[in-house]
Amino acid sequence: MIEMHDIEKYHQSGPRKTYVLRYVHLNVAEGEFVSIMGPSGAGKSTLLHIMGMLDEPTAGSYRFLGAEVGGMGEKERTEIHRQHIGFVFQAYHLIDEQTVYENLEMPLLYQKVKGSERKARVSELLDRFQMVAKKDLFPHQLSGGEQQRVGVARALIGQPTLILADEPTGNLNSKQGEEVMDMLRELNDEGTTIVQVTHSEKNAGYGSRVVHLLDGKIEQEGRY
Amino acid sequence: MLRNNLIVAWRNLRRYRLYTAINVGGLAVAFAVAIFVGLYVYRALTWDRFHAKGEQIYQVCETRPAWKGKASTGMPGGLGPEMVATLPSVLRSVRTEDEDGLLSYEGQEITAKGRFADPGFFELFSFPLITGDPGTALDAPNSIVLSKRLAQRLFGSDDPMGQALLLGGRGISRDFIVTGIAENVPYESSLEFDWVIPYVHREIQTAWAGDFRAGPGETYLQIADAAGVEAAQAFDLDRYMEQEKDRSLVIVPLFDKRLHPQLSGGRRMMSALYTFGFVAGLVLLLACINYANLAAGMSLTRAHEVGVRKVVGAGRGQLMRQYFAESLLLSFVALTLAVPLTEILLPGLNRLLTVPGEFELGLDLQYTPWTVVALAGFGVVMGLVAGAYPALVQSRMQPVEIMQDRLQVRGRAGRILVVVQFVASTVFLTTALVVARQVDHWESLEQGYDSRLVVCIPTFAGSSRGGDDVHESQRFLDIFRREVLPLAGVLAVSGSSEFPDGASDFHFADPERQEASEIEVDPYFLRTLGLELVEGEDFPPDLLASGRVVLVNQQLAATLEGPVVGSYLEGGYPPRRPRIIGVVSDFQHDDPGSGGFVPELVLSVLPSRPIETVLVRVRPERVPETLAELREAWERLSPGVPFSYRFLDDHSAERFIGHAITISLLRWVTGFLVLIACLGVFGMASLAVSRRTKEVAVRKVLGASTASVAVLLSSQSTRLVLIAVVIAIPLTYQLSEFLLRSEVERIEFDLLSYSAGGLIALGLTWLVSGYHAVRAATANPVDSLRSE
Repeated sequence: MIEMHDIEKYHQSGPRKTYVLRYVHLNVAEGEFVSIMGPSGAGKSTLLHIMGMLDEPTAGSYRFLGAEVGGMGEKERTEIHRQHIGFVFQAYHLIDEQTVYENLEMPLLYQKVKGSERKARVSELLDRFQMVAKKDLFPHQLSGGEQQRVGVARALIGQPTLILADEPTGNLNSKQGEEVMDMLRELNDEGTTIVQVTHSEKNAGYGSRVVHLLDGKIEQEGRY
Repeated sequence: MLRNNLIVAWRNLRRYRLYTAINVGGLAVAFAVAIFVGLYVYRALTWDRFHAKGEQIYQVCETRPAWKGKASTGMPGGLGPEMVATLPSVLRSVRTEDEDGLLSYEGQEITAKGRFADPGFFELFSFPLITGDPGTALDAPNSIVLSKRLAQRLFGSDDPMGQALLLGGRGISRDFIVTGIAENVPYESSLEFDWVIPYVHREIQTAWAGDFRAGPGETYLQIADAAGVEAAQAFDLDRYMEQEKDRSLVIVPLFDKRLHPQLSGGRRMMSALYTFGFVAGLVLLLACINYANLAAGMSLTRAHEVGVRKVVGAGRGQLMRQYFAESLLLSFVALTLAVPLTEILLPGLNRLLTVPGEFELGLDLQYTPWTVVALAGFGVVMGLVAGAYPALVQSRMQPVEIMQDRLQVRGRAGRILVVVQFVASTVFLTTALVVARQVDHWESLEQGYDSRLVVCIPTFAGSSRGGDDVHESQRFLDIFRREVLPLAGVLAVSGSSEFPDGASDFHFADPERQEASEIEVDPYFLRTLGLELVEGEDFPPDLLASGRVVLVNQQLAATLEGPVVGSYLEGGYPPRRPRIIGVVSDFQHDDPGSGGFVPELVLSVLPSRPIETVLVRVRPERVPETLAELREAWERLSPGVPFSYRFLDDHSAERFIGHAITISLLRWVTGFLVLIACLGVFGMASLAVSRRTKEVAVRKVLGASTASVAVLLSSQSTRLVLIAVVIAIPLTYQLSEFLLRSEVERIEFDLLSYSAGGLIALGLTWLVSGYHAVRAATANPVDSLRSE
């Protein structure tokens, strides 16, 4: 699904290049659950953003489902987001002005899904994540765990094939964290590919493969 | 999707209440101004449109090569009937001339404006008669038609039809029989009257009323077709003249009269409309800039939302639509507020812009489907214009910058943004202040003397009651002056045969020279009006009325070569060669809106016409007592002539109503402009401070005191505002130069008024910084740190 070949990302300031990523070769097959680990500043998030096409590599080739991402325009990338990718963030990134229901509905609106289907899909996810009673609340009225559940649900609503999670449990206590990780594993069992960035060995243990990143380079890969 | 956009927009507007209030307030005020100006312009463009035969009505005007394209509406009385007789397409001519009259009925005496008019008047023009036959009402020489309101004042509940009343005016004094009652003349009519008598009286009075030389009356024609207009235009006036063979006619459609470029009233009206349109456009533009400014300031706060939306799959177009939904919603909220705001302000504005006792300005907002569509369209356009900048710029943001918290516009870029925004606000604020000062300046120029405490008493000279004798009237003035000057409340007494109602022409002996205005006065004129003598001497008090010496105004002096005082003018009627003994400062001596207004002026003491107005300057204290004493003296010295008076400033206001309206409107509009600019500065200042909430929190954690935070917040914004002010001054100068480029009488450039906008911006910044400093100082720093 993801084929990254010799990805580089650097910032140029004067004659000096500061590398964030360098010599990155990484393939992710469909159905995998990959964890990216490494200390702060290792380039984990940047790698995830490049995977999610939020950021562009300075050099190297990135093929998503066989198509070269480098040559795509904003429209095509937006289309891939909608169709294939869901994001989960450490800081949840819900829209404060919208209720739980509306936050979940938003991606469908942008995909121009019909009203009745929207309703069905949002209701289904609310059910599944046990948020029915809270669907009319605003994010700040929820606990962190609940907000992240909405975050995961929103990532799922577009029925993506790939979920990219950036430290999804970083802001949660351990019990809430476990719930979220269980959810991700469940999704992976259903066939969704998952790539997560994490600090925690325990969370990495939910996945099938670990990629260790240090100073922008892949140091080692391992399997569980 | 639309519903969703609107919900989100609504919640965003609610969430950032301060900015919403500033935006809505600014837009609503701008809308209200624009609606009002729109009504005013619409009214001006539809002036005189109520005449059913209006398409066929034309006014005959005259122009001469020396007038440089300008035309006069004063036409010789013989022209209209001659054109009807010789041109088949000219179906009818109506000559008319306005006149002030004194009407008496059973001891009641009222002065009112009226006119002489040919019998076809009520058939040609759509002034409907409530009673009476429009075809015959003016047929009999002694017939008079009254307006409804004058009839009510004179006759109360009695039936006026067939009653006899006494009318005194210039050259008339006789009984007239009421033959019709007309509806009151609507405001948007260029012909005004409260009474109408047959034009034939004018012909009896004056020898020239029926010939082809110059005349003061207006001539209207009903012309059947376009060919007829061309024929009328080509009518050869010179054929009827022995001299002055360079006159040609201008045929002005009635509907175009008010804006016709060759008529001075039309030029003035046109430039007033342009000015209003420009200022209203400026107000709207400023409101839009405020919106864009604040939106740009808010963009950091809003960036997160944009980023999230992009990540979950929003396309750029979809985000743009959301921003437009927001600005449109805001625009419509503002519009909804602006309509009642206009309704609330309209009566006040109408009153403000209407002279008491005159025709009401009477602008009102009528809710026809057309108006509603126009307003809605207006709201849409404003929403789109205001929303364009945020929609285009903010939808372009890259989500990764937001996710990585990289978007903080730090350092130079952020400061430049703030400076640019302050510069925009400051430039507009200052320009508004400069324009307001120019308007003040106009107003002070307007009259050139203090007109507030000058009492005008009409003598009704020319009617038998006032006496027609020139020397008689001058003797009366001397006696009256001697009688009232000792009164404690009287400062000076003068009289004029023309001022303040008009002026006559002073034709120079040199036929190439354009004529000047001439006013016949008595020697006390300057001191009574408080006019300033720029050069030379005033008339000596014992001057004989011979016209041998004159005063000229600065405008005329400027056209003369060599030393003015002591030189001679040649011309006048009968021809004479008066010596100029002094130069008087310019003052408003005639209605600049009238057809033949000439700013160059000669003041003469002549024995040719009786005094029509006695002018008395009174002390500000004891005005009512002084008026009673004047009345007593008047009635004792001049039995039979009623004592009536007005203050000159009412009089001038009435004469210069068009001008006064222009100025009051401009003043209001610039006031709104300043208000909106202030809102913008306020919004910018508070944004500049609120952007640094996090920094303040960090400093507090590190132990900064409230005072040091306040100094910090204000010092940096002060620096930015000062930079902005320095940049703004030359820009303001350019902009106001551009705005005022066509003004002859310019205000001086002075640094204070040019920095006033900057000072206000600075003051507001300090105010807002202080407020935020106190808030930041009392807030728990952890709150603002945690949210990041």
